[in-house]
Amino acid sequence: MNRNEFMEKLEYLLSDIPQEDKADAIAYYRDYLEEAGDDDKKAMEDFGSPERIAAIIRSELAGNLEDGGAFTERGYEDERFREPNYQVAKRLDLPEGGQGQQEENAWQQAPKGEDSRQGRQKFKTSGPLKIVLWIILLFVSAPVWLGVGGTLAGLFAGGLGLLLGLIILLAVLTFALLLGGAGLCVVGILGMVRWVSSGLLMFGAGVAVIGLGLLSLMASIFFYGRFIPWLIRAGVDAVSRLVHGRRKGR
Amino acid sequence: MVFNTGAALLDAIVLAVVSRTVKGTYGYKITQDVRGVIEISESTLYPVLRRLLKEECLEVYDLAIDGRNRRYYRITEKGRIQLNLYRGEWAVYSGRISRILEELNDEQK
Repeated sequence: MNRNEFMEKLEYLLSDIPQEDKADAIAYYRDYLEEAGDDDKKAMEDFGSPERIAAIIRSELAGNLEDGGAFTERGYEDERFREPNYQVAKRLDLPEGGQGQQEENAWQQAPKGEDSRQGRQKFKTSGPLKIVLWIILLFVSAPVWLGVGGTLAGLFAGGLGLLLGLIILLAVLTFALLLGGAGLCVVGILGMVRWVSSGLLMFGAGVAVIGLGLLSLMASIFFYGRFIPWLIRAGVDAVSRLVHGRRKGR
Repeated sequence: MVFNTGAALLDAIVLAVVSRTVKGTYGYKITQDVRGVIEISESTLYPVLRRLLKEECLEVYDLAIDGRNRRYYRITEKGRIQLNLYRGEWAVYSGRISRILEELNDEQK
């Protein structure tokens, strides 16, 4: 940015202040840079940016410069004028050190690749913030998900009920088959004392029922040991993906 | 610089710098002169000069130099009175600070 570009930008930024004040400020800074001669690059660097100078001029006009600025080891400094346009980015900034210099010149380099990519990284949302945003989204989209989501929630609840029923049914069935088979066997053995044939039939049926029970037991072992944990894991995964964003390599 | 300079002291320094020449001096020169004494940024003085003008401690006039106008700042009578007040206050203040900072304890005397 050369002297003329700087002044043009400043003039544009001050378009809405009183004509007299604007002319005064423009004259002062134009003179200043002309007097600086070959040092004008250094002077403009020290100015920071046209935006910063415009902010100082405006603030003085508004009459709130009196108690804002103070001298520090870095000269006459006013917190509010450090980086008028980069304050938001600065607050969200995580890494300290080395960043300051870059930011000071950010107005000169902003559109270039490297810097703009860094700029985007600055606005990376954190975990808790994401949750808050999701909650806000839920509220805002309420009319939609109350309709569509209501149906889905109904389906989901139905599925959950079915699953719960299956869990209980399988357990009861296994238990009943094993117990019933064992009972039939005992009755069969006892019956053999009186009528050998019917007792034997009873015992055979008992063994068959125990067999069915064992089959059901195997099914439940698979169901409780594999399917339910898988279901829970899949559910937790889906929720965490929703919260933390998609993980790479998945 | 470790110590902060308040607005009043900055006013005093600027008034003192401007008062050194009878015909006055211009913005860039004032800034460089002040920078010779304390560390300030180049953008510091415009609001200060505006304030001093508003308080009528300074006045401006334009002088043609190399085919263009250069705005000169000159101290007014009111500015001179103000500067004298600052000088008196500073003598007392800096004297006290110097005394306490340079004071030796009893054993060293």
